[in-house]
Amino acid sequence: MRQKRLVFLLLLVWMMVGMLAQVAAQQKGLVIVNKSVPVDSLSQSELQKIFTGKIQNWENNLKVKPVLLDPKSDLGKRFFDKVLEMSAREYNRIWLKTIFSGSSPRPLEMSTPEQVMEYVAQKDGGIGIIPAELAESELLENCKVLKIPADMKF
Amino acid sequence: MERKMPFILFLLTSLFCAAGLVHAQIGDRVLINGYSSFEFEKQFGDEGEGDPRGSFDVDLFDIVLNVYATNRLRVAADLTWEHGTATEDGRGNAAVEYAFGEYTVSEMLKIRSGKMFTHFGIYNEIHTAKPAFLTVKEPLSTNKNQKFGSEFRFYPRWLGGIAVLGGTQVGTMDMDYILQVSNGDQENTNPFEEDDNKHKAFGGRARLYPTRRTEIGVSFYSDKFTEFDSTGEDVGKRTSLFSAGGHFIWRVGPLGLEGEYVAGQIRPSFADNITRWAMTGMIFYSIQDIVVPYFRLEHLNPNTKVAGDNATMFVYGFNIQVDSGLFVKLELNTVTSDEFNNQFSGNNYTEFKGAIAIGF
Repeated sequence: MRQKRLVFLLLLVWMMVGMLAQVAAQQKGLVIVNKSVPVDSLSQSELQKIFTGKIQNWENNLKVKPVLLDPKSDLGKRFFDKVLEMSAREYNRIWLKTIFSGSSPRPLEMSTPEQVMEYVAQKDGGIGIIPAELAESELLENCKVLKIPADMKF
Repeated sequence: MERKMPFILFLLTSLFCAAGLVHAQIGDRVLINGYSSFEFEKQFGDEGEGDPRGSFDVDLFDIVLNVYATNRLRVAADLTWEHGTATEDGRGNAAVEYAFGEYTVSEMLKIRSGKMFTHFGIYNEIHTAKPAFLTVKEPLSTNKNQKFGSEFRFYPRWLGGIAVLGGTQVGTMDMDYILQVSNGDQENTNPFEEDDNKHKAFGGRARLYPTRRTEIGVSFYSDKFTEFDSTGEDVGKRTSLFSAGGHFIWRVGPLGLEGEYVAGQIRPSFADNITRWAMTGMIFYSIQDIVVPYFRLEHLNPNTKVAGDNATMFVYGFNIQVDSGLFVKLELNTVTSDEFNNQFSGNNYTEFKGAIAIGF
């Protein structure tokens, strides 16, 4: 009887660990673009270049209009850690150099995912990130969700 | 206590300025950014070219405008106010650092026209934007060599002309380039900046990025100046200037290195050629991107045919990012020079420099 209980407990723990791992592996953020943007997927390197001003135009020459979610939010932090692979402070130093050399103005920063969705939906060339649970939002009517590499889930 | 007052005031101002900073946006098409730098300098001892009395310097306050007239047309301007607390009384200056229009044909080809910085090496386009680099001042040896013992700069700060620029991928590496054609620098100018000779100045730079945190670049600048006689008449002869340089920036984790080398020649018709070279090397270590200690070495040989005219500077200090866009810089500059150096004449000295730089 005690052995059965032990096996049951071990199974329970194993299942819980498995579930937790699955939740952790699930994508929590989405990359969205305005429907005018002529791409369906982006690599990590392309996202890094877009958000650091190295890519300023889409393939159809539409201006890239990136918008950042507040870097202090959970999703904003994960985007910096896993996608941009830099701290918000390093990002800030890079942009100060880019703006003031006359190269390009820095991306806007929004405090809520709703603001990001509204901006991306309204602006041709817009690109931003939102939490995955908002994938069905009505605000995304004029947007599309991009495919990103499996190892870049944030 | 009195001697410490400037330092205390400087630190108090740093804390006072630690407020949230934002840039402004008017609609979707007009973006306003800016920067400022407030500095304090004090030379140790009375001998030397520094400031033995210790002075505050409202170094600059700049407003940077970006206007997207259309999806392809950007107009950018940097309006500056430098030094002096009474510009109206002829002290300090208010000016335009750059003002140009840029038309995007594609990512690989943009056309720019107007007043712009000379794109050369690491620092020239950002030399006034103090929040954009670690040290209080840009390197003198490679970027401001006329303040380090040279008679002429390696290249002018600004140009009025046309540029083509863009970026692309070469294999797996990114690269960007710029080519500039302008009137060039001239001694005698006029209200319309009409060129005083037929020669145009050419300059350019190409940068390659082997990794995301590595940059390698080469630059050049070429121009010809009109030679005048004592009455101000064009004697029909020209002095040519050519400068070329290479630079790199390399970051691995918190450790960073950067270096720049510039060499060039001036060929006047009435005197011997002047060959000169300069270098800078810097190492820095970023602690959580908040505190960054750095050390930079600068060296200039203003004329390789003249012995004993070299100058060297050691810069050691800290750059602290107090808040997003707010930087406090504290450093020591030690200058050693040879007897025949035009600027320092062998007077060696050490100076403290502190700055509060804000970018928004």
